[in-house]
Amino acid sequence: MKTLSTPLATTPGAPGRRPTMKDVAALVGVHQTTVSLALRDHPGIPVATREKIREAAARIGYRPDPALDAFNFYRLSNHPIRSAPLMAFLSDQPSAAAFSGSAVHRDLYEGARAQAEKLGFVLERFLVGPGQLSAARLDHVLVARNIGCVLLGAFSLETAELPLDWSRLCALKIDSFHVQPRLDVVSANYQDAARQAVLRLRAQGRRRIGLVIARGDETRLENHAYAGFLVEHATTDWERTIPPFAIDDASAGPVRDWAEWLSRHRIDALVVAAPGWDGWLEQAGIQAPGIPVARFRVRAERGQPGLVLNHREVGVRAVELLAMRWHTNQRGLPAFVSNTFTPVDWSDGSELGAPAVAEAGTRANARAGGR
Amino acid sequence: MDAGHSKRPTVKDVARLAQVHFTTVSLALRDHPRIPQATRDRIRRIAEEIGYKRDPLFMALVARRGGAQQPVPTPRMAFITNRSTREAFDAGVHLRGFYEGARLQAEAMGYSCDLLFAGPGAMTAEALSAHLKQTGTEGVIIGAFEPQLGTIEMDWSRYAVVKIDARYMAPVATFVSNDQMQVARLAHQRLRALGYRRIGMAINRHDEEATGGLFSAGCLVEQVGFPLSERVPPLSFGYNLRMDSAARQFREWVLKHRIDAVLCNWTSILDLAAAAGFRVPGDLACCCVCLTEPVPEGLAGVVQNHRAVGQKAAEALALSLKTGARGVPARPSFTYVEGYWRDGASAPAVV
Repeated sequence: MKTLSTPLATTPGAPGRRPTMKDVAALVGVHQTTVSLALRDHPGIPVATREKIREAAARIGYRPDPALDAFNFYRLSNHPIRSAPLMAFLSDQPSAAAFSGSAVHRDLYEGARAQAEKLGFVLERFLVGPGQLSAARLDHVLVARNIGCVLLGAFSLETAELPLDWSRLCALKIDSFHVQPRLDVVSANYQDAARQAVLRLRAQGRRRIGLVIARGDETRLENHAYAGFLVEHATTDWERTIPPFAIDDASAGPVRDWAEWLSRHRIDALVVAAPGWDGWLEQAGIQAPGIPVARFRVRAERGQPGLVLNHREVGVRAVELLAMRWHTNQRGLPAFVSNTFTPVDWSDGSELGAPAVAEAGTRANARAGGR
Repeated sequence: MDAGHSKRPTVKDVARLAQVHFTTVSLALRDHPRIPQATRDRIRRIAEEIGYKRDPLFMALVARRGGAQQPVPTPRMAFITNRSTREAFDAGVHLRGFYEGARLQAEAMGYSCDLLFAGPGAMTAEALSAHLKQTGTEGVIIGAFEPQLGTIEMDWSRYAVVKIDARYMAPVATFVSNDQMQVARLAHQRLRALGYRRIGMAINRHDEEATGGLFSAGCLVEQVGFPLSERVPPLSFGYNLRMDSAARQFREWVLKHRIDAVLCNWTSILDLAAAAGFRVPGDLACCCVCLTEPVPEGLAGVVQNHRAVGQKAAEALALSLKTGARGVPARPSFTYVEGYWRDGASAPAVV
């Protein structure tokens, strides 16, 4: 035991006083900040030291103070401090213009940025990939700028792997199941969106429902929309199962097999999970409302009924989880991967803008109650 | 609104405007006699003008810490089960795992996590409310309520709530579970990689409903990736099936579809296969997608990490408590913890 400890610190068991980190530090003979790091399982402290400190803390009954912790959380959410920690939002979009041109990326980033600011972080965007930062260069930048919090924002199929020094990073992926390494994922609930879409169309008496998917999205999301579509059909009559129509770029207009797919499978309703699909039915010679359509939408907008994926909320949730893990010092690759899905709601197209997060509850509750 | 928050005035802002040291501001605002009355008034006026207010939470904290550090009660979370006794609870390996994970994570964050029994014959809703109130518990984990045991009519609005499993039971809440879709998919993929070509999934209807069809979702999306001639429809057992009739259904299904490998969520899959007259792995390979550590000798399958589910639940609950969220969340999100594959003698590689 150290001799220089304060009188208070030498009497950890004194009645009426709660043991503090200083008491633990005095007992083990390390600095208070080492105790703090060790109890948060910081990789910078040798495992043996961490265990020794944890034992000492348990012996004298030291516990972190949640009131203090809650206070810190609250304080950070109220005034950003001058040296606010940085959080990196990574994207493999080919250019800043491409990034801003994509509603999905824009909304993800906007939600993430707003939430980061609320929680006392500064979110900064980095573009990685060919012609942009290489992974090695990015690793340097992250170290040099002392950035430990990283969010991978909806990576395209172009990127199969992102080799960074993950051991020092606290990281999450948005979508991007296909990108190595395996990290926890936050995503809109595409599976549930497809299920809701099928239920709506079946309630209208439709039986030959076809699914249109964007090949890239489905791969990035491990076919979650298709899984939801299949389970709601609950049929294993494989011969009659309608295969999904996969498209690479919906905005380029209908491809050759499109009209043929519609007629061969006698499709009487569509679930469309591909963005930019407008005008495809008309070009196949089908006048509205010949085939009812349930479409996936990035956000709720007037005159655009559909299942709202709400990527802004995905960004918010991702940052919330990341901040939580940062504060509890969870670094490196996860031993067990967990995936978090934000809710998807039907919008009838009467909204003026994206639904306020706090106001959309009644719909969500009504839906869950109806199940 | 955000800009207003980020620019909340501080003592230092007041000090700059009044051209005094910030400790002078602090003293003046507490009406300290050492500061001239005129200065006190001037500082108070400036503070009012720029909207400086003392932070009540900060004050409370200072009071508590300054107050000779009296021991405070540890803030509490509660893990509520609808089983009735500790013995019944401990009989569920998954339940024990959920609770253990939640308790450890809670303690790491400075909370305690009590286990409360709200099953038939145990605590009523009134007793539970009274207990939570008396102990000052603000956060509850509704721990894998089992539909057949019924639920309790509680007003959850006063608490932060996170649910494990039983997604389709009230109340709607932030939800954490094992990833049943992923475990079904992983089992299909691994059996396929081991060389099996007619893979079938047998699942109890009861479990299928409790998970909202996620086993089937995983099964179907993998099966449609196989050639048409190698797809097998899943077998769905009825409720409360006796072993002999389950075995009969199982046998008919395996023979009809010429199945070479079965995945099932029952840990008793080997008994079922034996009762149906199959030698494992001679006639049929078997794996269980709901294994828990320590894995029974020789049984292949997917190991589910119940402790990690409990940890994520406690983490989500702490997040709600910190942000002050109470009651049923307007927009709950779902978190699923993935399982991992374990090879075993019941499903060897096909030679």
